[in-house]
Amino acid sequence: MKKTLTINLANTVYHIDEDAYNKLQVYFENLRKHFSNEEDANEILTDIEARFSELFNERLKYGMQVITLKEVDETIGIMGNPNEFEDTTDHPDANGENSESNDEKTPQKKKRRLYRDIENQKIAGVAAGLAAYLNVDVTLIRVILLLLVLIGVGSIIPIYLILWIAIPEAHTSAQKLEMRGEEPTIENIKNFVKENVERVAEKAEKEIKAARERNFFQKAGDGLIEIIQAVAKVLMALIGGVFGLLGLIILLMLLASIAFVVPFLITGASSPFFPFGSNIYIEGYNIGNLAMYPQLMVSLLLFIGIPLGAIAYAIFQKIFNWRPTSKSTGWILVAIWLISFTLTMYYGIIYAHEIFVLNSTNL
Amino acid sequence: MNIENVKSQMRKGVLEYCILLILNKGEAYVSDIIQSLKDARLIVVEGTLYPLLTRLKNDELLSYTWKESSQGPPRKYYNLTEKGHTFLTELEKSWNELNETILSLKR
Repeated sequence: MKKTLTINLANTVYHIDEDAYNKLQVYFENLRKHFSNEEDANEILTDIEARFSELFNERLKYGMQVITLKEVDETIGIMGNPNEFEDTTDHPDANGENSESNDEKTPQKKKRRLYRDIENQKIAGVAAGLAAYLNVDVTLIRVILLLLVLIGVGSIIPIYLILWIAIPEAHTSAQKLEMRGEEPTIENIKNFVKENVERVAEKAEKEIKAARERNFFQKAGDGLIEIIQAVAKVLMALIGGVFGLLGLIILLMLLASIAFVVPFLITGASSPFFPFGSNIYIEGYNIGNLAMYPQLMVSLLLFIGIPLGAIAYAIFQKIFNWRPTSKSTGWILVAIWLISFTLTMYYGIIYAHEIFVLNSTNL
Repeated sequence: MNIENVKSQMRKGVLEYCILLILNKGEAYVSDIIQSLKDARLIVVEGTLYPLLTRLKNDELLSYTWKESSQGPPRKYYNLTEKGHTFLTELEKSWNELNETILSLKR
């Protein structure tokens, strides 16, 4: 007596023995790997699945209901293993058998990511995560941490807390594999899950036994973090809101003052808001009139106007959901701003000098 | 030098030509093609065929249409495209040349 599974192969339902299923699964996985460089790997695999379905159908005609290991073996025999395929591409090594079989065993190494290993945690899993990341024993890390605390490097404790908040937990199997620096392929995940089934069962038993003592500490920790995170979020929102509002007010004021002042600066006329004639005097000193220095005016306007405009644009963009401008526009504006900055300095100095000369002759 | 290797190289060389020849007679779905190849004792394992068909399709030598079948799901029927026909004529030429060469060498 055997357990059977139901599978969907090219949109047809088959009952299949468990062992036969496992074999088929591994076979398709190998095919997938073999065709992974191929442009239309999915299409090829779908076609092969369809063919399998056809071959199974032929075999099920004789009143059988379940696909057994025998049928699977036969069909795989017909289809051939990937290393038997005649490679019609112009690969340098015609039968890539060697590389093929090597790949199957060794899980590919890739860049590790730092996670908290909540499965092996003592407090928050930071040490365990670090150990997995550095590929060293957890105990070593823990001993080092404890020693550091004992010899008075107290800053380790806040650092630990920061890491606790900053490093994400490894929840999914894929993340756990990443933590160990293994590629999260189906193969690896499968192996990983298999490996872990026993460990998890053990752990579950232990946890049931020690549920109360363990959970209190963890729960307290989790609660604390949740509170800190919530408070941090509220604070960020508040700070952001206040700054945004302040910025908007300042901006509006600046815009208003510019709008009032500029026309009179340009025309040199006096007005109720800006009561100056052609030459402007402050406490008896002649400070000239900007309107008589158009180069300085233009560069000054650009020098002040571009950043203000940019800020205004950024704020309105947030408020009204405008599309962000292209990068090139930004660079052009920066370039213009730098030029206007230089020109402002240049004409500013000339202007100041003239004013100086004007005042020293007049006085 | 491995005899099996050489044989497989030779088969490899003509497999595409053979597929095009089969489809030149009319459209066929994969099992038909496999059957024809088997009758000609050419194919070793069927898996070889699938990536090849896909590649020929991507090169626009073949195209396919889905057709209902009395048993089971719809099937992909492959047929030669315009480009496939011209390609086949080219192959035909070079095959004939090759054949003559071999024959003359055997004499």
